[in-house]
Amino acid sequence: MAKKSKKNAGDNINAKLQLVMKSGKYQFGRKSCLKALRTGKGKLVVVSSNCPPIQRSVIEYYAMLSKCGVHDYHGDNNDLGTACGKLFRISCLIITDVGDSDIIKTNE
Amino acid sequence: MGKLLKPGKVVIILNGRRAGKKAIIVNTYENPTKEKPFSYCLVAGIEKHPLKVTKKMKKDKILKRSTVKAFVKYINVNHILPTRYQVSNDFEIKDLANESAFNTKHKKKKAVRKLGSIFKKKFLNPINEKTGEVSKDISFLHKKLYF
Repeated sequence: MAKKSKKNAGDNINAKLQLVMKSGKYQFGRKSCLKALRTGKGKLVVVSSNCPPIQRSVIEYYAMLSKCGVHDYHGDNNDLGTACGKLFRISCLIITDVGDSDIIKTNE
Repeated sequence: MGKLLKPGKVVIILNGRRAGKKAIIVNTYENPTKEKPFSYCLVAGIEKHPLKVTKKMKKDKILKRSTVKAFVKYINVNHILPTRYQVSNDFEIKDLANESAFNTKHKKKKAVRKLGSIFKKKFLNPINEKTGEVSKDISFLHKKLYF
């Protein structure tokens, strides 16, 4: 039963990410993530499971300082890239404008 | 979702000669200029922290070991790590560093010496007048970052 709910949650975040890709604004990659966090424009950070630990810690610290949520994606950077509909790997992505999605409300 | 790099924020310098040193943001310049095509900050930092001091030491020895060597620098925002500490209550941030200090070498030396003495005074007497206690931020600034 627990497994099922996990899968559900995974699908949920994928669907919401797709909606953000279509309607919202986002940035991929560590540099862009930190830049957006520094200026306070970030709304949600999504980090893949195999993001390098130091990089992950830095992003989480910045997000804590700028009061931005961090979502640990249940998957590899390959999976996160696929979830965003891209042909490359994504270790961390930041959503600066949510568009039509309610990804932030569900994260809270 | 506020801006991170506000005046008074304690930061750690990540790159360059001053890597690993702690500094206070005095001013931020978000819009890139022609000379500096990136967003940067004016920081006032501590190059050489005051040495450890014990009760046994004489007063003039304590004073000598409490000297702080400071630095003033324009630094790219990418080369800074902001911390959760803020020193806006303990220092007059505008007095720490001035843009005019960078005009001549002589002026810069003077400004850096003045900054060192401001830090030294603060660390010798860290109790905040308003709160009556030592803030965590000053304690953080005081200590050297060992890595």
